[in-house]
Amino acid sequence: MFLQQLINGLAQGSLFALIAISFSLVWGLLRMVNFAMGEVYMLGAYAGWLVVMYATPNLGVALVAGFVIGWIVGWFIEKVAFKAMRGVPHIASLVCTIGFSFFLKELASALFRAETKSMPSYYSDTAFTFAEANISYLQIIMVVIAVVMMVLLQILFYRTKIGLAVRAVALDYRTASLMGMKVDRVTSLAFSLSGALAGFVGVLAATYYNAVNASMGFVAGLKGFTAAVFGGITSIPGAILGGYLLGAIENLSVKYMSSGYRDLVSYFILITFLLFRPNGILGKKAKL
Amino acid sequence: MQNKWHSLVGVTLLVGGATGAWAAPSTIHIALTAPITGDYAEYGNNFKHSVELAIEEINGKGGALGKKFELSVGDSKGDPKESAILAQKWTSDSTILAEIGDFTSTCCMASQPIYNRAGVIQLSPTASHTKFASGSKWSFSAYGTQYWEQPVMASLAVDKLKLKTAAILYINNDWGVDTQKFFKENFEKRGGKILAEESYFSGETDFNAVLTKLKGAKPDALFIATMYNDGALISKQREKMGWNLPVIGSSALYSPQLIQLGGTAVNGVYSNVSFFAKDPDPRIQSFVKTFETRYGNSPNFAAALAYDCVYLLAEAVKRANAMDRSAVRDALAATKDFKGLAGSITFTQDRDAIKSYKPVQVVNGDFQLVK
Amino acid sequence: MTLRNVYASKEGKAIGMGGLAVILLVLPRLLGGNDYLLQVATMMALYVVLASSLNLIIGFTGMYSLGHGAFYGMGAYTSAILSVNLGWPFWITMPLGGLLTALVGAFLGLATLRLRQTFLVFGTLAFGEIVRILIMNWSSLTRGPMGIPGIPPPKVFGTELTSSTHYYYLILVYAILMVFAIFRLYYSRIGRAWVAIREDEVAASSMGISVFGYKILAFTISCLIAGLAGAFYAHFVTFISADQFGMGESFLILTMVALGGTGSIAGPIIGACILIVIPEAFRFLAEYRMVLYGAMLIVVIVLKPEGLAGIKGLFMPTTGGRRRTTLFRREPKVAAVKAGGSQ
Repeated sequence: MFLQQLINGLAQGSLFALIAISFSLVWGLLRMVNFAMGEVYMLGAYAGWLVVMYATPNLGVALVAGFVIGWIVGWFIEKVAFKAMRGVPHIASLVCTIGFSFFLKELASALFRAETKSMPSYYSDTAFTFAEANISYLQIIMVVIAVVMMVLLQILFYRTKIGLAVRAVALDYRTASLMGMKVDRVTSLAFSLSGALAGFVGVLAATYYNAVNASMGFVAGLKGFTAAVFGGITSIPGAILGGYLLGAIENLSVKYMSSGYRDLVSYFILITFLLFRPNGILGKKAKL
Repeated sequence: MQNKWHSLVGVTLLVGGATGAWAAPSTIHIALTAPITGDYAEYGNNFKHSVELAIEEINGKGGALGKKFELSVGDSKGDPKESAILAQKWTSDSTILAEIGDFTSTCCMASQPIYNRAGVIQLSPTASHTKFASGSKWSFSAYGTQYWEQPVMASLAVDKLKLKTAAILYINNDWGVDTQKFFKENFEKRGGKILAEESYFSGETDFNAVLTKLKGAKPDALFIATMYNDGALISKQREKMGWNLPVIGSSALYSPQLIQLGGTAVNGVYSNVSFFAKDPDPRIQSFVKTFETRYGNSPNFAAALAYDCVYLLAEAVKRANAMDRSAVRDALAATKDFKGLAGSITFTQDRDAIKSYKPVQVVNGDFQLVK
Repeated sequence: MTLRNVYASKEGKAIGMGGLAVILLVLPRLLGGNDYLLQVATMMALYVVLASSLNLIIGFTGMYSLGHGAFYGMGAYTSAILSVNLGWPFWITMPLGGLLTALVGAFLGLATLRLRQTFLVFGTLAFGEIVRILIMNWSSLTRGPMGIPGIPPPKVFGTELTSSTHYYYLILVYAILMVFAIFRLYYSRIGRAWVAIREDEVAASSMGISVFGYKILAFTISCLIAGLAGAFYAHFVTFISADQFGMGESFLILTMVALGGTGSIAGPIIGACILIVIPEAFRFLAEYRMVLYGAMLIVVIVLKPEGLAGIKGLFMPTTGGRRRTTLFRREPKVAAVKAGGSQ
């Protein structure tokens, strides 16, 4: 059973990891947290569900739809909650994203009616069984996607001109601006990309759990943030590592204690790391 | 400062004036408190739709005591604070005879003292907390507590299915804990053994870990004290794990949504009903059909219970032969063998409903009565 | 707009406060015995207290907290457990609820030594959730998810307070006392120290202000007030359960402070009143009620980021960019935290 819990943990962990990357992207650039990230994830899931239900049963298209919707919503949130509010108290920006979180959740609930939607299963067959533990194709796909995503983003940030721009802005916003860089465009890009990732994961999560509803985002967002802090919020490999570790620890904790304390473990990790190692496991070495 | 406060009081008065229900005394005015928005919006909307439907029907037949029913709806958002504010709103409106709602026990119990103080009937379709109805003489629950429901399921498990051991997975709220407690009690009383119990918080979507743990205990059956959407999720994840065993749930699993969400995974799941949509009873059939054509989804147990609540009140008004709050309360408390969509209702001393529960099973994507 | 301007003239002060006092005192009469509006007014007063207390942390000291719902709940639970299990009277359990909360608040205040800004937001948020999970799981004490029913209403001179008017006056007295106390604190030596810390921690500390001590003090007093408010709430609704003090409450209280305006006395009062009235006023929108609520929140915050009655140009930590770039000035401090963390 240990192995099964570990596998489940890694599969869930890849979802956490991808959300964690979304947080990392924004954090690395602006030292800000988008409270509505979970809601972007939820909207992505709805987009994927709409595609699968009304357009084509192709999961790939659904994932793209989640990505696009996430991109648009992320872009919009940046315009309103960050760009329009630059230079005002930090807390105002934070509350603005809380407002978005409210607004998007209730909007989805009102538009799609409140009941949970059913998302069909994809690749849910057991790929192979290993020492009594079943591993499904989807679980493998999820892990692969998370790792590929990490590699792609690393390439984007360290091998391309866009990446160079993002890193320059992250390093020193003002100097980058003085150097004539279009900092606004860079922040906008990072935000949209982080939203797109969240929307993408939303579809993945909806497929894995076969369900979409308006209140699915909040816990996911919080867990994603925890994973980001855990692994190291300033680095993408850190976010991935944090996601996998958090998933594994959460699932294994259920094995050893009452499941009523499951969330307690995550929150405890969050507080402990915030207090004693705010740069996460990978810490200083890693940089965006 | 002063101006601000002036305008503030002004706004408050305006709001009150605008929203305060105003009714001609020639109607039977009832209020509905339901979570139209928020996490329980699905149930709240089911409440609203079926109450509207019931009132329309009754009014179509001339109402009660020659008076038509009139409805005011308030959205509590599933927030006890708002539920209490609404309670004050309803109770300070002297035309309101009774209130139907709220959905969660927490909301009902937070507003209970207000109804009690004002002497207004608080009839909740779904409050299942054992301390709810007994808490005030004005409070009624049409749902019935798990104390009456779980013996049916335990007896099904032990006497009919010959199961010896079981594991329980329950949602960590007042309803889940009660369901778990009474199932365990009754199951063990009949000689069964509970091997493992796990809980989860509302909003959880990943049940792989708890299911894997429960599977390790190797029970004969799995009892799930969950609402249908969680129930479907749990079943799907259980199916993917390749863990096949008899699954038993409670009446909250009964909904067409369980099958829509759960697909083949919920085949074989046991539940019980007091409202059964496929019951050939013409009243039930016409209710289901009207509900479906009008609102585009099938009514669930909450819808049927809310519908019954309107009829319970209508009948109580007729029996009391008066529009007096306390006379209607007494008549309602004396309800005996009321024939509702969700089974017959008799109120106990504590104003909890005793109902009949029929076990059902999902067979090939459809609920069927267990013979 | 701000209190400072109003208090600029003595006449304005006298007329303003006098008029306000009269309106508040005769409000039950004014509302003509409409218990619904009185309930709304009671809730407003309760949240005025909660938001004002959070403002001590956010507005005065410049720290963030999203754990206020938990403190509020802690006061409620302490008072409820003592009065239901031990039968102690309200007037003893209420202060005890406040004291225990203050103690925990002081403990959490220790965290501010290491946490700043967004990290503090998440730290307090996680703390709040931990409290809620503990309440849910510690069934022998808190009755877990079943909640605590039958909490006795408070007694004054031997008579039980039961009517809405009674509760209104009780919370009104409490709210006025607390707002007045906070006002006095703000303009006292302690308040000046807080403001100094908010505006520049390094400068404050070099002026001999014990930054850490004053931060803990802010947390302690804030939690004391919130705990007392929680105790009042418990005896007011007579039934409490963990889900009444979840993250939603913390978000609501924080939003009240931010919307009304951080750092001013009037800000949280206005924020609390608006956020209690708006959901009531939007009732006619049915299922779009909360959508509009969210949209309104966004619009107001974008148009008036300092809050409706906030002080413009207040040296609150700001987002990076054109006008002020604390993002980069803050870097050395973050580095200091890092250095502390890796020891």
